Amino acid sequence: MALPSEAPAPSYAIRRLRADDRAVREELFRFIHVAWGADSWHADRDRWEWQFHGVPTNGHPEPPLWILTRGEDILGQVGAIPVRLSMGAREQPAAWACDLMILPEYWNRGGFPLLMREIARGYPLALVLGMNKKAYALFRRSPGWTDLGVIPRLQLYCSLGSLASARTLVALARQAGSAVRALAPARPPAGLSVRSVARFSAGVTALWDRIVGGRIAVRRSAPWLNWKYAAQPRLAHERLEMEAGGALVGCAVVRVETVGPERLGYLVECFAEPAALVGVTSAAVAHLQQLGVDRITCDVLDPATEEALRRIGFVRRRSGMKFMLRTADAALASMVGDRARWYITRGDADQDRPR
Amino acid sequence: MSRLEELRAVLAEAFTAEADELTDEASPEQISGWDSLTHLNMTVALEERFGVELTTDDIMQMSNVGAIRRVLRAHGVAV
Repeated sequence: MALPSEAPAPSYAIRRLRADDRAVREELFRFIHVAWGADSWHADRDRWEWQFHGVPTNGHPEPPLWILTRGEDILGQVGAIPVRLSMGAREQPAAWACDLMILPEYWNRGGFPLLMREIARGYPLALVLGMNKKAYALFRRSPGWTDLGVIPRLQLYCSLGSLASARTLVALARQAGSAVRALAPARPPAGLSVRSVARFSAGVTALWDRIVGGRIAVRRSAPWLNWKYAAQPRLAHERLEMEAGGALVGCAVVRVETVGPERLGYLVECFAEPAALVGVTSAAVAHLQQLGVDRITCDVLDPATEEALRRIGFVRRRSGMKFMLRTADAALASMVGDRARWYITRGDADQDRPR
Repeated sequence: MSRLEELRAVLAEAFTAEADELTDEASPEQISGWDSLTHLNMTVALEERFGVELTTDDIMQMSNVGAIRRVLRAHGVAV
């Protein structure tokens, strides 16, 4: 009589999540609860559906998420936010890698580079923003990744309380004059009207395409912005359109968050016709100040926007938002490797999230 | 050089470790140069040295030196 054979050990595998994988999705949420916590931003199902099923630039029937499994168990994952980049007159497909996680007991077995290989296979240009220290060290050592530095963080102090820390005062003193301007409310220029809108209008797409010039950036079309800032659950963004002489000249996205005793304002997005940029920025800042914020943070890689912010009193603060990219296409690499051409905000990748 | 000595040489180079540290029980917990990235580099070096093609399952099974030997033996490499 033959003895019953021992069941083979379950195999490790990496695969893309399928939209109809209901059972796997439940296992995925069990993994997310262990990896990040049941109350975490990652575990919010509405946020997850919005990010992985709602992204308008997916261009694929399955959600942009890869899982590392052993049998039925999920041990790791990496997600992507597929995007279309404006690159002068052309559009370039790319993706932000996000939500990379492997259970600690499976670290050091190659899972991290194996998962990232799926992103590199799926998209001609892979981007990462805001890695933690451990991930940053791994990306720095991984072949093919280019480090384009940190995204500048600018802040405006709007209340005496927000100026109270010694470190803040030292930072402001180094940037002479800022403290005085910082506490004075910004004033939008006369002739500029500010409208809070439920959704951005199609005119915003035309505005973006007019102003983008030689910059490299995720294309800020109205559908993209509305997905990011009107349809996103959990975060309450306010969308502003600014007009002068009856024409749309700029737009902004702001939000307010209360953390302990402080009301924090975020200028998440702000772009405008070059001649209107300072005015549009001032109008968005004035809007946040009317909402009673103690300080305003704007993370932005764009010299023109940074200059506009400095003119109304913003100062540079320490930033940990690191930006790296990888492409196997040498011609593309030479174009996208120039940090000076990039336009990145807090709204890119998945960096705009609750504190 | 035996196949086992060849294996130890590959691992020592990949993890910047001494060959005599690489006992069957040696794992990332004991070998400081063994992390996710050097692990994958090591698997590429094994493929080149021994002419094998390793799957995701093989790569993830390699939790210590003994496990690496078992995976290679399953591919017909006498280590």
